Parts: sequence; C-alpha cells; structure tokens
Amino acid sequence: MNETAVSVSLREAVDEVLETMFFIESEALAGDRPAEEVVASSVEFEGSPSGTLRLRITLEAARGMAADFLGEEASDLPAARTAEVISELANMICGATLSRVESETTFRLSAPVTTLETGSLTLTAAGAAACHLGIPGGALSVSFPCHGAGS
Amino acid sequence: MAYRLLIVDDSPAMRALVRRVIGLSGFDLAACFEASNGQEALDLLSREWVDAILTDINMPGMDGEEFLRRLASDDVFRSVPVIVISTDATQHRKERLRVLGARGYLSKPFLPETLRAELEMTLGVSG
Repeated sequence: MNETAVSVSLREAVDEVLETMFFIESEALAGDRPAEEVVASSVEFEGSPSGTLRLRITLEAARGMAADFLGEEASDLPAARTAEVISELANMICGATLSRVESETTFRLSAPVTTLETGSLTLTAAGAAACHLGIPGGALSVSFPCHGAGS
Repeated sequence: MAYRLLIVDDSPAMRALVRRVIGLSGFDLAACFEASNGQEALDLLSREWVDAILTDINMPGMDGEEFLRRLASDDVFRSVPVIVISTDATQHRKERLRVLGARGYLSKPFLPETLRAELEMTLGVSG
C-alpha cells in the first residue's frame, strides 16, 4: 500500500472515530500553529506492518472531548482522566487505520503512552502519512508510518 | 428481567463509556461490574454471577484470548455469553475469537445503538 492509500485510510479512520465515538466533525487545517500545550499520545503496533501511531491534540480540545466522552463537566475533569480518554482515542484510531491497511495478519497494539507537552501540534516525519485537523475547541494532528504498510 | 454485566477492559475510559452507554440506552441493568484484565475478571466471577461479559482483547496481564480460553474450559463459566469489543476489525480476528467462544463481536469505534443491539441479540432479549 502506498503513502497516498495510507493517508486516505488514516483520514477515514480519524473521521470515523471522531464522528462515531465523540460526535464531532473535523476540517483540514492549513498552516502551522505556534507552540502550545498539547496532549501527546503514541501507540506501538506489531504485525504487518509494525510501527508507531503518534497523535497530538490541543489541551482545551482534549479536555472538551474527554468530558463529553465520560459525561462529566470539563472543569471538574482531572488531567489523568483526560489522558485516559486521549489514550483511548489514539488506540481506536490506530486500530481503525490498521483494520483498513491490514487484512492478512492479526495485529497487536501496545498500551498507549500519553503525556502533556508544550510544543508544536503538527506531526511530520519522513515516510509517514499525517493529517492535521481543526476540531471543536482546537486542533488534532496524527501520523502513521507508511513503511511496509500492507506489504 | 434485569441483567448483571461484567465489563473487562484495561482502559478506564472505555469501561466508563460502555457502562454509560448501556445505562443511557435504557437497557435493564441490575448490576455492572468492571475488571481491567482477564485474571481480575476470573477473580470477580468466582464471587459474582453475571449474565453476560463484554471484553477487550489487548490487555496487559491475561489478555482477552486467554480469558476466553479459560472461560471455555470451565464447566460453569462456559455458559456465560461473551461479547468482544476490540479495535481489530479484521475478519480473521473475528473468526478466531468465535472459535475461542465469543458469541458477539463489536468493533471500535461503535455507535451506542449498535452496542445495545449486540447485547440484546447475545442475550436473546426481544426489543
């Protein structure tokens, strides 16, 4: 599967997860953003392909999504609960992407690692598909390695 | 009839979501237990009877596949219907889990109504 096909699969997977589990829609984000507080999550996966999905989401958007997901008030939500939901977001996007690019073998996901960071939202890496999206309250960036996908 | 359910998932957020979705859907729930992996679930099942189990697959400690094997090898627990909730939507994974004893399969992401429908179908509840 080439980089374009992986990019399409990644975008489809992100939209499916956002719309189905969080009831939100996204739009393509043009241009970079200044350094800001972001929640960063990564999920390693083993199978064919193997690699790491990386996700970054602006803090306020993360809080809003976590509150809606859990049915709680954003102002009352501890940072750890926000991190749990963003971990699950990364886990679902990774699985949904792999289910699109992988059809012959079973894959295994590691537990997501999620931290609060200050830096650029935008994820870019050589040989990786990426999408940068505007969502209610902020923005989201996801990258997925193309190397070996579907081969 | 009110049902007793067990949710097995290492993600506290997903356990909370599943519990909330089932509650909001109006499903007749008598009790809802939670465990973070297969071993915790087996420990809980030694003390509490449940009508159905919803389990993840990728979990630290005892994962979902081993949990299904352990349930299938137990004279009492093998009769408890299990629905797998997993990010892996590939057909060969679904078939493998059915062979291990899963009665239902729900791919994440899922719509709330799909979860209720799968639960009712597995339990033989008429809408």
